[in-house]
Order: sequence, then structure tokens, then C-alpha cells
Amino acid sequence: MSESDVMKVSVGQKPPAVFRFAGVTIDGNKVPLGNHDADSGLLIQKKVTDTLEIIPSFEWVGPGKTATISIKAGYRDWAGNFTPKTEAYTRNIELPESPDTPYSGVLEEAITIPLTACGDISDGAIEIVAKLPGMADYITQVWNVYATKAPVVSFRFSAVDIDGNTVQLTDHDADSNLLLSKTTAGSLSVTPAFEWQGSKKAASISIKAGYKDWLGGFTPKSGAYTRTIELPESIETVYQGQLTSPISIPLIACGGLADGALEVVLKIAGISDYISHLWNVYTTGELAVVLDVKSLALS
Amino acid sequence: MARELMTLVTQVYCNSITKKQNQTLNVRVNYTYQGPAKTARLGAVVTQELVSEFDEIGSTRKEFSVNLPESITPTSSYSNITGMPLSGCEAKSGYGIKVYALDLDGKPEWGAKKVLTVQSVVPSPEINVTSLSLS
Repeated sequence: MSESDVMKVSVGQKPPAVFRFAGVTIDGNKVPLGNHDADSGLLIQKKVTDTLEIIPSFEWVGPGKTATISIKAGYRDWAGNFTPKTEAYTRNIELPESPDTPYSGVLEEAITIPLTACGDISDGAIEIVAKLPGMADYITQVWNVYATKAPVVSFRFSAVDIDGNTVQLTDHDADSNLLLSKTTAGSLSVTPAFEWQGSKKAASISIKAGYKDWLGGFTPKSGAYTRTIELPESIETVYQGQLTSPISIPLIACGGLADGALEVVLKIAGISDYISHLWNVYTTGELAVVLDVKSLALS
Repeated sequence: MARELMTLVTQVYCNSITKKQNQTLNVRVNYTYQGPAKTARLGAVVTQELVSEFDEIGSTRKEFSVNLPESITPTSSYSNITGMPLSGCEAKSGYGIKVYALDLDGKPEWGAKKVLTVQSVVPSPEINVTSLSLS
């Protein structure tokens, strides 16, 4: 008896039963499955109150069988394997006898997977398992199917250049300790640098000059000097940017300050303002007290 | 920077005027102010030249409060000191006037010499011969 090396089918015997998933439709998105695994790249934005509607399609060669198809939702763990977050949602199917040509079938009704237990996932995956009597389980994993974690949106001021002096910002506030000697006729040239992660957004950066009040808060003495900027889309990596030219802050209303401070505010629609304070930036000296009589008029 | 303490009267322009002893003197003080908001006192007193150029006649003194708004740069303003009594001044010419500020740094003083003449309100003895009668 000879045997085919390729099909491993004994001459005179029927070919062995073969099952495979040919594709899967997830929330109306068709994902072909050429192999056991596939990166769908869908990353459908979901909430934990949402569900996934999954319709696997398959091919079958073999005798008639009753099989079950089970689906779990989970995520791709640090080792690259599927970690389930839900139980298995199962459906029985009847595989017809199809001895020679592959039978192509599809679930008539979608299997619905609630995502209640799938919160805070950025790379949701599903695992589809076919259990056929007398055969090993056929397991397919589909990666990057859904995300229940909001896309990362983050902003921070990383540094501020003031009259050529760079002040690093590891937190919102920083003591610059510059104490630049200024007069009310002078101004400050301020160039903030920032880090951004998120989708493309229009934003504005406003700067006020003032001082640190007795409560430790910022009290403005000048109005806000504002520049509109565009934050580029930077989803995967942190974008590092800087204003292309400084914002000039006149100090005309900032006389008599020994501890001048700056407030730098970023405003993006739909996101809380990001506020940084830079303390001890400038001094304008104590305000001179001069009364000078010029003339008298008697009557 | 606070202004240096002034120990001498700074002489400024002032018009001359003649007043009677039963009248009062009014002084309009034209000044500039630079500094934070403050309430200060302005005073004025009639002076005469005896030992020094600005010896004060205390009975003529008048003071009042003035609210000085914050001003980054020297800002012109004025205040009126009114009702300075002249009854304590003997009738003569050559009086001066001095103004000063209190509650500010130092004690700045400004003044002018020989700007006030005070006239008596008592008529000078006078005899008029209306007629003569010979006998």
C-alpha cells in the first residue's frame, strides 16, 4: 500500500476529515482567515456595555458530524498568547457529509459576545474554537479586534524657554529661580515646549505674567497672550513640539514684583486645561514711592 | 526704590496773593505720584523768614488725607488744601507757603518764599477835619 506524501491518504481510502475556519465577520467586518491566526486590525472602539456580533465561516471535508463552535473574547497577553476575559459562547452546527469537495458553511446567526468583563483593553482579541467528535480542536485567534480603552490623549509642557533660559518641567509647576531683572518697560520672550499623544487637535497656548501670592497661588498682573497651534496626530508615539516663535509678554502692569511668575495654559476642546506655573521668573523691583510737588497755586 | 529723604524745602513755582487777616488761604498742590495705592496726608502752613527761610506759623496749618491710586509711572494730579486761617498773621508782606506730605517715605517738603501779603482788618487811625470854628 502506497501513501501520498502530501495528502497522507492511503490509496483506496477516503481522505481524512478536514475542518478549517475560512473567515469571520465581526460587527459586519469580514476578516479572511488564511491561517489559524489573523490580525484583523479592526480595533473596533467598544464600551463594556457593548457586544461583538461574530459570524464564522468554515470549510469542511468529511463525513456528516455535529460540531460546536465556541467563541471567547479576551486580549493578547504579554507573551503573545490569547488570554480570555469572557466565558465561551457556543453554537452547535451540523456538518454535512462532504467526502470529496470542501463544504463551505457559515453560521446562520451571529454569536453575540458581551464585553462586560472586557474593560480597559486596547488590543482585544477573540478565540474561535471548533470542536468535532474524534478530531482535535480547531482553534483560530483573531487579534486587534476591539478596544475598550479610550485612545491615549496626553499633553504636558516639557520645558519653557524664557529669554533664552530653558526651564525644564517634570511636573506642572517649576521654580525657575531665574529672577530676571526687568522693568515695566520690558517684556519676556516665552517659548513653551510640549509633549503630545493623541489625534490631530487644534489647541491654544496662553501665557500670563503675575506673581506668587501669599496663598502660594498665581495672581495674574497681565492679560493672556495667546498663540493657536495644531497638535499633529501621534497615536503610537509621543510627539515633542515647541512653538516656532516666542510669545512676548509685556510687563507694563507688573511693576513692584520681587517674585514674578508665569502661568502657561494649554486649551484643547473637550480636554481639561493643562496649566503650568513657573515661579521666580523675573523681578521688576519694589514699586518706587515718589510724590513730587510741581507747583502751588494760592487763592 | 524709595526716594531719598528730603531735609530741605524744595522751592517750587507759586503765584503771589494778598489776603486780609479775616480771610482764609487756599492752596492747590499740583504734583505727580508714582507708587502703590496709599492714603497719605498733605499739609500746608504759612511761613515767614526769621531764623530760617521757612519758619512756620502754626496757627495757619491745615492737613488732610489724600488717596493716592497705584501708579506705575509718575502721574499728575492735584489736591486742594482749603481754609488756612490767616488771623494769626500780622499784617505785612513777605510771607511764604510750605506744603509737606506725611505717611510717605521721608518727609518731603516744598514751598515758595514771599508770595503772601496779609492785610489788617482793623482800620488805621484816621482823623478827618471836617470843619474849623474860630473864636
